Amino acid sequence: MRILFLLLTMVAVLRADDRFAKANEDYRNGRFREAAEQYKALLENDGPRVSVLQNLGSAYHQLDENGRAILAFERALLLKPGDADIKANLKLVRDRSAVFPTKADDRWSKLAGSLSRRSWSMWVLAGAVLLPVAATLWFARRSMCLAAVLLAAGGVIITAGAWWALGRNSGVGSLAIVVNDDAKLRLSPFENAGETGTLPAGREVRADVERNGFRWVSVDGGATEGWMRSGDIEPLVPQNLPPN
Amino acid sequence: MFRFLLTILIWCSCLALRAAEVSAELSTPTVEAGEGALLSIKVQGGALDENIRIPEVADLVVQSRGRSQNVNIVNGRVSRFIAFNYVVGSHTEGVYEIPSVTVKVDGQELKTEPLKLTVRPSASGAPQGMDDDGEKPADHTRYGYLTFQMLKKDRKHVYPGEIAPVRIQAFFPMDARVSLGGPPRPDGSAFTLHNLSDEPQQDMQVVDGRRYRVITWYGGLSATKAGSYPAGLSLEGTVTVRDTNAKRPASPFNDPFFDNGLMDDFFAPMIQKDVTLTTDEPPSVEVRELPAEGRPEDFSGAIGEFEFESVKLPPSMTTGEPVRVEASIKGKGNFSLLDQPHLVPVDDWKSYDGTDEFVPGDAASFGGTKNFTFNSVPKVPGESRVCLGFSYFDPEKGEYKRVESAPQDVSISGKAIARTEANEAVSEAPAAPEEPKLAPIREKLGSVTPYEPLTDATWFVPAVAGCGVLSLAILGFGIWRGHHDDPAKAALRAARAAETKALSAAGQAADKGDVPAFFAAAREALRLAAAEAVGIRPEAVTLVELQGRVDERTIDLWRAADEFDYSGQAGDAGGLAGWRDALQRGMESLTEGRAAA
Repeated sequence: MRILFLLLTMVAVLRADDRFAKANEDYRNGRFREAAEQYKALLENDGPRVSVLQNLGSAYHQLDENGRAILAFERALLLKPGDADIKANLKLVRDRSAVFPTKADDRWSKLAGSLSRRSWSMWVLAGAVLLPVAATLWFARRSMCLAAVLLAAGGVIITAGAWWALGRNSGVGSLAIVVNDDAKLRLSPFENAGETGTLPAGREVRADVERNGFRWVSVDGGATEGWMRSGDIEPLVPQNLPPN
Repeated sequence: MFRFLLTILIWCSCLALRAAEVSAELSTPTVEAGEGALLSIKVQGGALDENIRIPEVADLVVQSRGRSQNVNIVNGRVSRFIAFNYVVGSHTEGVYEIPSVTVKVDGQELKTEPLKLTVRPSASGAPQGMDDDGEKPADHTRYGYLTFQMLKKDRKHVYPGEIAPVRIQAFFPMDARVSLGGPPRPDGSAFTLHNLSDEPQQDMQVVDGRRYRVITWYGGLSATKAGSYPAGLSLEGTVTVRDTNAKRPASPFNDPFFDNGLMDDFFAPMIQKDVTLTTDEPPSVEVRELPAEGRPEDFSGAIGEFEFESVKLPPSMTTGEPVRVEASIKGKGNFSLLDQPHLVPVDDWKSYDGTDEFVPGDAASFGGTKNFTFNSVPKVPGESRVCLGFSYFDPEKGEYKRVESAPQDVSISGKAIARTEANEAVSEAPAAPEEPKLAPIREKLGSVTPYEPLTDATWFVPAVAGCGVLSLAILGFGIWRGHHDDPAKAALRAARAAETKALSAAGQAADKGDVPAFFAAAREALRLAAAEAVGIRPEAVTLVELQGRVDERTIDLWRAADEFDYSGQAGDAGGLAGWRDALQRGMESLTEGRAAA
């Protein structure tokens, strides 16, 4: 049974490799639409990968769909925050779309953003595991009491620090990217409601509840707010916007 | 004091015990299209479990206006209610039914009665918008007004991305109480406000003979697209002023003093109004596209006026070895789009993205200094004159400018690095600023990485908590075991057990009338108890250790036991009851002494 499972997994990986190579071939030959569709299918069928998200962003940029390109690069950065290639691509597309980032740039935000949320959660677990290890060391070898105390202190610091970083990044779940050009902000969740503004594609917004096919969004820490058609934005973390 | 506290406690209990009630009411059943009525949902006698959600009604606009809380104490009866206020209205005439609103209070679901709102056609025939859409009060100076000035008055145009410093002032009547609903916001989508001062200045000014409380913000106005747009701003808030127009009944004192205008002002009722202050006739600002002509390749979007403050470079270096470069650029403008400078000649260096830190020089973060630290790799050996450079757009002159720092002489040792080697060495670095291109697509598929952190898994928190509990359990077990394995304590436990055993044996011997066994066991019990009380080994205990610690009868018991042991005579079993009492008292004395020690 286990061998069968391994074989099926290997076949799936090989097939994903083939589809990825085919999509890359399309990209190199200028068939960006076909390449983008295949990258999207890979993401939907197999799950998120940094490589696929980066290439998808590049394909969208070539198609001049910079909102979706920024979304793909942002998602890739969620998985691999420090990647220089993805950061450079994101900056390039933002500059060309005149979308200026508004994120806080202090050193604590940089520290919390230096690892993905999944990596931070692994650090939380690793720090927690260190505690019983330290206790066992102390129990088994009383002569190594100091080493056990240091190990336990390290475990507590790692767990607390990683938990803090996770908390600092917890707002990611409500972030979304405007994917359509000139997306309208309205006073009420209706098509005939008055407009309060327009946001360019690629702009990062904070999304809230959905009503009548519209989502309540705010920009620049609440300086601009309103209802936007749900189809005009895509959540940064797929399927992760607040419930209706 | 106690009675006062008791009264408070009873009042609180009354509050808690009262059944919760919910009601809804409209300030008026009929409004014109484009205007709103105030809907109040009152929750009395309970705590709200979750936010109230007004059911949606097609074409009916509902906007929250916050909440207010009242506590009344009348004849000892306490009533408290929280009112959740909304403005409801529509641009379309008709009769609208506001359905029953479900409110969760203290775990129970309560419902309000449905309400009807009739929207008549607008008197002007055209929709006017809700009163928070920018409609000004009839007399705007009554509630205050908003002004906006660009700090560079001679400029009538800006560029997209440029941050133009502005001053925003809200004027409120001096006798008004003001509660702001947030900072000023730009109207429309053509402009955004940046770096608005968190703590606006407050002072008093006299305008046209009237005293105003003036709140002043400084910030940066940034245009998002080219064109000509009115730079209007709005500010929401609640203003409470005296309604001097309200008629006051004549004074019952029939005295002109009480009927003068001053007393009118004093007795005038307070009226509260939610207002949206807007800039009167906002100035039209022209937003010009940045010229494509003459745009330097390394232009990153910085608009303003910048110059080098300092540059630090090591005087000697080796090809292929990264060196640390520090540069500070000061000036005024949109520092967020000012990228790190690059070394000149560009082809002789490969620079990596470093870190930067902005130190604002004013409240609006318009001016200041940006410090860059990054690594660069020299590729060409020899004596060289090196400087740092960057480009920006000067909005005053409407042209791009290039700035270079003062050249520095550096000595570079080592071999020249071939271009391909250098490219390989920095393949992980982002695209060079002079050639803005996408990084090449990835050829290796890589592994699947979920977005969600492990904390989202149901097992995560129990696992982390389990680690904590397990470590505490190991710690506790270790402490218990250490306590249990202590040789001194083990010896003590053994001595106590032997003492109990000897006492028991003495008791049994006394019951059977076995005189030798009783004396042997009694002396053993006394020896063990005395040894612990004195702190010596049981074998070393003699009559001397007992003296002063037990009574004479117990001393006699010890002596009798000694004599009996040495002589081997058979004693009289009839006296054992008395010896048994002596043993009991002696043991009690020694135990008390042990406890006191």
